[in-house]
Amino acid sequence: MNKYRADVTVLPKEGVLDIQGKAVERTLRSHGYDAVSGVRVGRFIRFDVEALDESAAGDVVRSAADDLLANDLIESYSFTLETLR
Amino acid sequence: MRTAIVVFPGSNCDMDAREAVLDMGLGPVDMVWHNEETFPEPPDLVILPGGFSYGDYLRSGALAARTNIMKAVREHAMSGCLILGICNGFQILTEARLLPGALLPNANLRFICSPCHLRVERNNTPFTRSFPDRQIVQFPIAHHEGLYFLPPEELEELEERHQVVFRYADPVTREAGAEYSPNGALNGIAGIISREGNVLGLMPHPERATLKSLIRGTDGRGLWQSLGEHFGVFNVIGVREAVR
Repeated sequence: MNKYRADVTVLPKEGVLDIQGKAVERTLRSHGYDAVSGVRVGRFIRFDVEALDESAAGDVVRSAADDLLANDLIESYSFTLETLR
Repeated sequence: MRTAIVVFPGSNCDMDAREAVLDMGLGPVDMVWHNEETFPEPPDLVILPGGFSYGDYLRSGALAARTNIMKAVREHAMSGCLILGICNGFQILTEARLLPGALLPNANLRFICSPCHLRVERNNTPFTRSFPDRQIVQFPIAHHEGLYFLPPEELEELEERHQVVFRYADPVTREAGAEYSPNGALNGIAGIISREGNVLGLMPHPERATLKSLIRGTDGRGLWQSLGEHFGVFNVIGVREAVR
């Protein structure tokens, strides 16, 4: 078995009201960050997975995200895997 | 009539709901811990109470929706048992996909604790049958994630199927809709019912507008009166008596 570190990012879907993102963007702009736009506020979740290979680890992460970590009505997710020694 | 109230870690309106049900004479009430896999006695009504189950971690209601007892709640819902989710209970029902939609953070990003007016959009449900048509009622709200959201097409379908039961309203003009949402809820939606008509979720708290000795208003009694009539505990009485 190998061990992998999963970094999952969950973000509000396009078209879903992201009140936090809007508030953060307004504040950034009022602080002079005129170049900033499209702020989205989401969640970052990190966990370790034991699996035979990276593909199997990816399956576990996708399953966990679909089951619980993201609500597919309002959120989308992406993830990266890092091999741990 | 037998009522079961599910208690999650972080539920804080479970005893309020119990007091309301008992005050209305709708006992017995079983308090059921979230780890249980079955109900001690088959309930006619299951209440998922308000509160902050699991500290609202991840998403409001997300963790509670995946507890043991929710499997039993789902089975009961499928068999036609009445399920009532109040506030966090509504959030749990959407996370469990027993009701459509999701509850997002309030548009003003604040926790809102306030009296609130609603229009009863349907009085042909077991939960609302004692209310006069389009009655304006006052139930308090107390939540941070109460902005009801559904993608546009599904929202349209929800409206076409008349699944909206409570809508935020102006008590004077009796108009209801998005402009009266204290939390930004789409179409002013405060409470919805399942297609089958046996699962109701709402953000406002009828149980906090039930006891006569507590905070102002007892409009919540109309909801319990409806349930009592539905289960034959009460004779059908004049609607004015029920609501006032």
